[in-house]
Amino acid sequence: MRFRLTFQKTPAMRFTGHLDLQHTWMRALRRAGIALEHSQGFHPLPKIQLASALPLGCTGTAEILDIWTEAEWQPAQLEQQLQAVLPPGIKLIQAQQIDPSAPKVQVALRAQEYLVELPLETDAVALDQRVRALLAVAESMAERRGKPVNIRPLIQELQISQAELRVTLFCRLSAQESATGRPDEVLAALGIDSAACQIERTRLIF
Amino acid sequence: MPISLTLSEKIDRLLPRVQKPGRYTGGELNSIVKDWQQIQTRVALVFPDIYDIGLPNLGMAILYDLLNKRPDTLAERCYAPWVDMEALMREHGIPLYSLETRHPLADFDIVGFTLPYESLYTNVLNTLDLAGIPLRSADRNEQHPLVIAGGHAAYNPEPMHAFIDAFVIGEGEEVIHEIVDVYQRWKAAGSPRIDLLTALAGIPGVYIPALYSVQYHPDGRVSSFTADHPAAALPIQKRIVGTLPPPVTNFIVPYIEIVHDRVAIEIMRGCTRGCRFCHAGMINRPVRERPVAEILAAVDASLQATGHQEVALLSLSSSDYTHITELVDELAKRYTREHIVISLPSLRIESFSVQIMDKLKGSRLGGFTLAPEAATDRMRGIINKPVSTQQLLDTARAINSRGWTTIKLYFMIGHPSETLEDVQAIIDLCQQVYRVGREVAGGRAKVHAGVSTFVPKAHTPFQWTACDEPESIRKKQDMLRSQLKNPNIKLSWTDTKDTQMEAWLSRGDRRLSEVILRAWQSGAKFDAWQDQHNHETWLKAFAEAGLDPAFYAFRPRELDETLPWDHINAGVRKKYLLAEYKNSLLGVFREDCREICHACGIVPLFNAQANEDWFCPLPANREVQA
Repeated sequence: MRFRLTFQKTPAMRFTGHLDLQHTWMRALRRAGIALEHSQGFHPLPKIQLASALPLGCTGTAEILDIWTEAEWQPAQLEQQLQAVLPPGIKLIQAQQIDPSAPKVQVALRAQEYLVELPLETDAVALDQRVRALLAVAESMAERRGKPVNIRPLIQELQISQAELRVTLFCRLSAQESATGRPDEVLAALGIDSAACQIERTRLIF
Repeated sequence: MPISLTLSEKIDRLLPRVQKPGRYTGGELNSIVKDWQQIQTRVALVFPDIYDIGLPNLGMAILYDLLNKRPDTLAERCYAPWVDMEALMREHGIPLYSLETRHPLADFDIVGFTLPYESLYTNVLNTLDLAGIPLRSADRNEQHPLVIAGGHAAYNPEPMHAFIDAFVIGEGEEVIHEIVDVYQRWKAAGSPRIDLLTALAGIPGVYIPALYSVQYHPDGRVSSFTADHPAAALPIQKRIVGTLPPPVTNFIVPYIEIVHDRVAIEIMRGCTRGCRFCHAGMINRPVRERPVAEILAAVDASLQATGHQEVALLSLSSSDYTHITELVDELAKRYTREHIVISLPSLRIESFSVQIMDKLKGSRLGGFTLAPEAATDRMRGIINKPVSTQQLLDTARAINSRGWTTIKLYFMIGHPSETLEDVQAIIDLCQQVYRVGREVAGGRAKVHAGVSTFVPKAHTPFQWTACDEPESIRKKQDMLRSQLKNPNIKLSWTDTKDTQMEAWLSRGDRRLSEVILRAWQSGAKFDAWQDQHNHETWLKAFAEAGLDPAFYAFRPRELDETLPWDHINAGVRKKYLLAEYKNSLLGVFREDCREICHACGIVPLFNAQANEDWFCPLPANREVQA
């Protein structure tokens, strides 16, 4: 049976990379007694797919994982088994049974939304101007592994808001194969040190 | 939350700038966070190397578990930050902090170091410095934490004597509670620091270097060792636990990849083989085994608690565990179908081991490891490891015919009186094992030869011998490299510089504290990491301290000399070690002491704690169905 799990990656795990997150899930599933289907072949691997790698340092409020279980489970029962054994870095929101032939999560993904809490010293007015300026241009170059990339077409939405003293930046970035926006690059284009921000991925759009 | 928010926020801002920031966050599954304000005694347990290496350390896991089970005590963890994180911490004035609640180390009552090997000594100093705790025990007062240390390297505590307030000699499971109790009484009384030290000296197995003094001959040898306080015991006798307590099962599960992502269950402590080079085999006596039912329950509970996919059954000689067949049969029945890997290190070179591993092999086949250590009968007699070449080749054939294609062989060079013929025999033996592999497994056959360099250790029969000189070692390594060029035979060896440092420190005296301090001041740290290149720094530190490193590494000790660690009683008599040293010079084998007692002294020493679990066990019943 195929299930889609929606979960939070909390601050305790924000420095856990993609592969280590997958291992963390596999250990949690074993603790919960949920056996996974394995691939065929010489080195059978458990069938488990994370929708999208979250940049190191970010938290996520609606991350997606697909798993294929050996046994039949009720979604509610699966949730209950998992809740009891998850590490502090993961909070399960829900488990849904999905069509086993539905496309891979990684392929179905279209865009992702981030909410960035900016440092207290941020000047909201000046930043707003920089946001408008960035949106006004057709090209904004960044570098990935030594190669130039135009990140502007990857930005679908970008806006700031202010509540009391905290300035927050919202962005929706493209997330398709070979066209995935990165929040740290957007922040760099706005002249913000991403290490001083709290970056949260809030939505994966299919 | 009792977290110091400003420190915590500062740390959070540094983390995105370092490699593997997951080393510094804490919050892992099964880590224990207690309410700082409500707890009477706070202990920081420090493994002075990086998180990736320190987290799987079983000794620290045991103490963490025991201390946190006390309602009046909390234990938190700390590891050495890697150089990138250290630079940022120093730049931003961030003191070394614990992972659980991010409290500075200096805020704890007790800071306890695990010292499994000597190359961590400079890291201990670096850790204390990063924590803002005075390096020298003599410079600490009532406001500073009590700094304690234990582990295998602490059996010769002298080189680190200036920096550690109290050493624990031997096993920590019981003595750690006694230390906390004494600390609590001292703190309640509000007495001066010296009262704490003298009270601790009253606990068997605790060594307070400040209460003793050493005198030297003009040539640098120790002339005498004296206790300067009525509370100071002489000798200081190691501690053991009569029966092994139930094993830890709620292991901390890391969020990042570490060296051993697995559950580790100790099935037996101690070894009866009596290999003369083996430090662990001498200091961990007597042999104590855990009952099969207890091991099985612990494997089950720890897999439940962690979700790990691998279980390592630890001991110094797995094949000697009395109920090994029963244990392995049951583990195979329970787990091999569930993609769980069971590993069993330290197997003897005999077909019995292959039968045992065959039961556990399941779906994944790694390499099969054997440790012949030497390749000529002469050398086997010297080190007391009686494994014949035929026995090794037969075992290799059995391994290959059961489907393994890679055989790892561990050897040591630099044994006492070694000649180039002994080294040539290692080369020949590797090639013979490879040829057996070719015959049985064809082109897939591979041999990994790990050839390390022997370093004489305190409390072993070789404590009097000289360490082989670097020129000689390099010549032997060149020989190995030039003759083991087959691409299917992989060779690894130890850098002679690392060997020298281990040789200086493992049999050093109190004067080495000054050398360690100077080496650290000149930048030496992470000495176990070859990329840190500290050798010149160490030589300079010796010169500044007016000491000759060769005195420690390459000098054969006189048999009647007072050795710097003679005041530590590791459980085996010096008389026994000396007899074994003399046997080695004659190349005389001594049987496994499960067959016959050689009167090493461990039984009379611990007679009061004796029980049938460890009382020099009888030979194992090793009949097994093929």
